[in-house]
Amino acid sequence: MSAEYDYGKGFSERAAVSLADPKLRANLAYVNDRQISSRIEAMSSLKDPDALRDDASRIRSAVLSRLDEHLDRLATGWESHGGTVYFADDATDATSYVRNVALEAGATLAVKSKSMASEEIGLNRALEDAGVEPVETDLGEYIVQLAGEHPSHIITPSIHKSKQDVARLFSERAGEELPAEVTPLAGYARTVLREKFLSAGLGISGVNFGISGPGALCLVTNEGNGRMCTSVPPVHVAIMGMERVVGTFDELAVMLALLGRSGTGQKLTQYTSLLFGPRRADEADGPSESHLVILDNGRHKALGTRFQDALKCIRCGACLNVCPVFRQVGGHAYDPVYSGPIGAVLNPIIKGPHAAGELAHASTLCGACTEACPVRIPLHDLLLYLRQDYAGRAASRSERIAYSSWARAWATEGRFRVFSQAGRVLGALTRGRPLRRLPLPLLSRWTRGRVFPGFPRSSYRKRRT
Amino acid sequence: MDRSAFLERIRDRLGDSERLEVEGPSGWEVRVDGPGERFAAELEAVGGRAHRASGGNAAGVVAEVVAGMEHPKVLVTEEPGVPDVSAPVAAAGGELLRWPDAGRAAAETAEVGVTGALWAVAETGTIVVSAAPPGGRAPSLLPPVHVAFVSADGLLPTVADLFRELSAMPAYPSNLVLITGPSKSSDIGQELARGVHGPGELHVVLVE
Repeated sequence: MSAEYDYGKGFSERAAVSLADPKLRANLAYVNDRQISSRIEAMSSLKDPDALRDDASRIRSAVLSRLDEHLDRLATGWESHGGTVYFADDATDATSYVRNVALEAGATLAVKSKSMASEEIGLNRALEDAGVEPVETDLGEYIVQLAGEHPSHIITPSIHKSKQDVARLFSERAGEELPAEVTPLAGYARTVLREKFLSAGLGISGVNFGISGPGALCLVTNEGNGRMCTSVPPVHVAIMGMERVVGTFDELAVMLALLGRSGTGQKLTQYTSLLFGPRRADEADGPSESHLVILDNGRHKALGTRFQDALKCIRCGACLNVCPVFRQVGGHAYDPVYSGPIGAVLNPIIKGPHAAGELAHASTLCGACTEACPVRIPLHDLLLYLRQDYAGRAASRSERIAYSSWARAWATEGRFRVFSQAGRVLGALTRGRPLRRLPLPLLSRWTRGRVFPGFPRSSYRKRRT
Repeated sequence: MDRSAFLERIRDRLGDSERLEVEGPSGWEVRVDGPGERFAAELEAVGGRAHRASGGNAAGVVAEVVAGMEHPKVLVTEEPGVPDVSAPVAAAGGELLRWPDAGRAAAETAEVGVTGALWAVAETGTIVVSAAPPGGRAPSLLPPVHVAFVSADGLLPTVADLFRELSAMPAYPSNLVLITGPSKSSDIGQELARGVHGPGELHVVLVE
């Protein structure tokens, strides 16, 4: 039932797996369309959504331009509330810190609220290795974890699973047949996970926004698992990508208005938790320790470059839903963590330039992602820059020769005419039909996933004059 | 990694590029006519139930909620605005548990949690619940049904108004939660499920 994606292989191999899965493609089409239409409808409840997007874009840019100040203030504020802050250089640094917190708390079970940052650093594996069982509690993440897979969408991680798939997974775990109906399946998950919440020694969450002024964290969920993970276990660890900050509650209000609308078509997400450190001495419940892990993991390298804008992202997933490539192949074809247009831009920042080439080409550069982005990240420009960097660094000798000859051939009108003639000859030879396979190794690779448009029998210039 | 080294690396990367100021949000204007009606409509739209009551009959909503339950356990906080619900709970043959004395164990078994709320927001049907005493986190989170009482004085037109209020708070509890309807998920076959982790049923009583 679930397709096999090999991350040792390339994007086109993984895309081929998706393309051969009609059920996946039907799910994607249905969900993406629904997400798009609910986003548009929710946006229209604002008087001037475009002006608000401009505001959001300015806020995020301003924060990034002073990121050091904001992080310093956030850390000081969180500590003043009684919380602990750890600055993590990379994945290993972050996971070993969380592992130590878990071990010191004597935790053998950790409940997790959805966190892409924790996926990024491979936290579950690190906890398992240390003898701590991590349990995903977002329903979609729980489904994906039971299936032994990765999330396939930032917002809806189990977008690739049908009700029947979920019934099969849950029945297997329950040791009894559960009906493929939403209410009993959700009820089963509630019962199993409630038990986990109440017995876990550690709660782990992501962070939607740090608010530097009041030294607070904001976490949004629809199911309430965010509240559970940050309220019920005795120790809480929040993991935040270092760019996920705003300055004030006023700025947060703008971000929340756009995050809910862009991500799920909601004016506000069901539960918006504002956290201010651990439980106070006079409070009746809440964690007695609250740790904030601020994660760099390569992000600093994007600062001061033309990729800095990628760090404005608020992880709403709108660019995935509208992307004509994502809509065909789904998240698993990209990368185990961040997929879609924003994933193609974030992965090279996080993993280094070697992750840049292929995914930057998994795009038609149509600009739908840029159009949808609530904080106005120029995604298709960034994809193009990545291709430029890739061409300058990693393109093969034959590819370089081919493109520079092409450039020379088209540089003057005379040579252009000669090449148009060549096109006419090819048009006659192929009878103007599209080409499914081109000769020569270089060209045949190009047609592996594409069809070469037919050569017309007469040139455009001729037809126009 | 050392904090100052971490921040220094960011400073280095940013170099002498301009440090930008945020100019106040300009596209942020929402019109709310008749906040009471708007609040009720928005709350119902996200799956909650809106009630209005005067101080004298506020407990009547709890009577309505527990009617039909068998020996319901009802956990109640002593926050401002929460009425005495002992009569309707007794009438339903139920058990009244008092937060925080009854402890988290009571919250784990209670069918209904009754709390106060600091504010309500008309634009979105949102309420704000605080972890500060005499309230807490569990009463609005663990029981499958949550009933919240909020004073009509605390009704704000927009989310932006709410965040202005939050900015002005002199001190913060460890947690403030904005609740906009009951717990829900669409992760199973993209169909709506309620009460996945938080309460599946939410009643908000605006008390005049």
